[in-house]
Amino acid sequence: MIYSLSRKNIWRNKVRSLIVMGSVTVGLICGIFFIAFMNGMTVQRINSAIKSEVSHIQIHNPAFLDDNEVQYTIPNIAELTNLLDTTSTIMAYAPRITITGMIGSARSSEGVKIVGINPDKERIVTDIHTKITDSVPNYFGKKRPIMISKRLADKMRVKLNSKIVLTFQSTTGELTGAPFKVTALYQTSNKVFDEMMVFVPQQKIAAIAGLKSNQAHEIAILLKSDLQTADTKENIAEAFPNITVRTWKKIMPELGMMVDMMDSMLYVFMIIILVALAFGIINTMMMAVLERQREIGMLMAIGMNKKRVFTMIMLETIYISMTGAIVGMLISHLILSTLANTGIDMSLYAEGLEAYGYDKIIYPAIDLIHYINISVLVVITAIVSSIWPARKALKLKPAVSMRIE
Amino acid sequence: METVIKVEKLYKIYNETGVEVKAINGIDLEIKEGEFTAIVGPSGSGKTTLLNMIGGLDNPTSGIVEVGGVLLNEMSSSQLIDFRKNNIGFIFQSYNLIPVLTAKENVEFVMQLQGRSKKECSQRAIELLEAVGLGDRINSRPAKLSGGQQQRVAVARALASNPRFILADEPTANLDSKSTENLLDIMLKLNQKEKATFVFSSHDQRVVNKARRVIVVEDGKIINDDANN
Repeated sequence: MIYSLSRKNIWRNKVRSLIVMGSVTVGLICGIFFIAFMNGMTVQRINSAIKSEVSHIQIHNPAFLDDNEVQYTIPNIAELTNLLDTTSTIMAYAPRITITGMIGSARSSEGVKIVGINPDKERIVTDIHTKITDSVPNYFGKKRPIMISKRLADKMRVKLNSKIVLTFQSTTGELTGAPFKVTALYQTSNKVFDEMMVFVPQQKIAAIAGLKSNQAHEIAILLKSDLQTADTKENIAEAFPNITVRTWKKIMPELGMMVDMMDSMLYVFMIIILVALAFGIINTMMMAVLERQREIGMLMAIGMNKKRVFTMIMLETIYISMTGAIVGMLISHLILSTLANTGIDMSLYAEGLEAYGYDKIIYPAIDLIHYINISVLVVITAIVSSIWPARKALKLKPAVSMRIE
Repeated sequence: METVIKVEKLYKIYNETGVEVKAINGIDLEIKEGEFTAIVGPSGSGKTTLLNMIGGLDNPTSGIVEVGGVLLNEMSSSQLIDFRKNNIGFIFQSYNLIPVLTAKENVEFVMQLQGRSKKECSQRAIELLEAVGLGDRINSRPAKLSGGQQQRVAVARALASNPRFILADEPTANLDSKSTENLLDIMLKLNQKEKATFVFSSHDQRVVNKARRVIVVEDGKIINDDANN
């Protein structure tokens, strides 16, 4: 009865109710779009970081992380890889040699991180091979091949088949180096990564650095699900206490912090929108109560108790807010479904975005849980917004309010 | 007949603007069960205030209001709401129907407040609307009904909860003579059929003519009562 009356009451003043519903709808579309945009940007950045840069987990010799010296390879690597082979949460892993050195061409030289990779294993763990923009056939099958980014190539004014020289410290502490031929160029959305990372076959760089072919400074691990990261890390660290096992959140703390903060930030933003909307809702409901003083007085006269009067006003507020919210969420869903395929082209800001590792095409993404949480927030806003008008209604005295013309 | 409404030394003094106004100035009154009583008097004489206090809508400044053996003065506002819901049916001058509900829903509403079943509410609402001659308009909203028809819906609503008392404040003030005649006939008929005690205020001579007892109020005092003659 109260539900039906409240539902019918909201259509007494159609224009006013529609304006409030419209403002809730527009507010939610803006809020949801912003959440989806920021969420999409974060998810893309994390996926890109995991797939192209750090993977879910990395293993190092602790001394290597402190001093970055070539001789600090991962101890007990055979036993360690045995464990990794038998861990069910691991999709793939890739051992790497990583050496800080210089890359030189005839025109310039730059400081780089030389990554010795096993192309077959690396192919499963990272997607760097998908970022290749230009290459010679069988680009890692050459005598001394190197893959550098297009950005670095442009900076150093080299191209495919150009000769460059890598210089770095060997395990004996002596400066060593060797010429390599550029056989592939890649480009990611992360400018810093592109300018820093060069890739060579693991065995070739191991031989030059004085390492054995099975030695590695780093093992990158890709898991079947990000949710398994913490547990898997703990298991490995427990089995091999003399190595350092780090998750992607630890390796890139700024990303970890971003993920941890993002949800809170998005809800703070949504709450700000809802607080602004609440004032409009309160205003509308207050007008609705003041206009109906006579009727509310009559309802109390014929036996409608205060609890029911309060519920009636609160339900009207919830109906108005939720109708606007549902329409807002449906429209947002339609917009986001389209944009999830086409993406939002942010080319205008590409340079700035790429400097921070973001793609220039942003694909907004929002989870079902966000819609559910937003619905809960709208209901809370409606309930809170209804308190003042409802209290106003409760204070009415039937004999007085029924005299109001 | 048993006395069901008893008012003793009733005063209602308003002092809202700093000027003391005695709306009710020492009224003593008894109404017996099943009476069809009119309280008449000029505007501002205190008819509505008296009716409001009998109906538990307003508190007296002093004095006693006993309705159906219950002292209304001693009840909290929630208890008064419950008392009104189960014992009193109101008919207001400007009908005061809920505009978004149909005639039938308006009548059902008060029964639903009592917690009666949907089926029972529906049956009684139809029965009452037929009794007031609106059997063919049960699904019309108030805006689609004439003033007389709306007041008949209000009468049906007032009777819906099977109240012991029907209090009507100027029920015919907004009606033409034909509708007034019609409404009074219906009220009289229902007074006999439903055995409810009817008390209504009016300054309409046609209403006065139909009443079985007429109480004349002026300046907050009873200046004439048929029962005493």
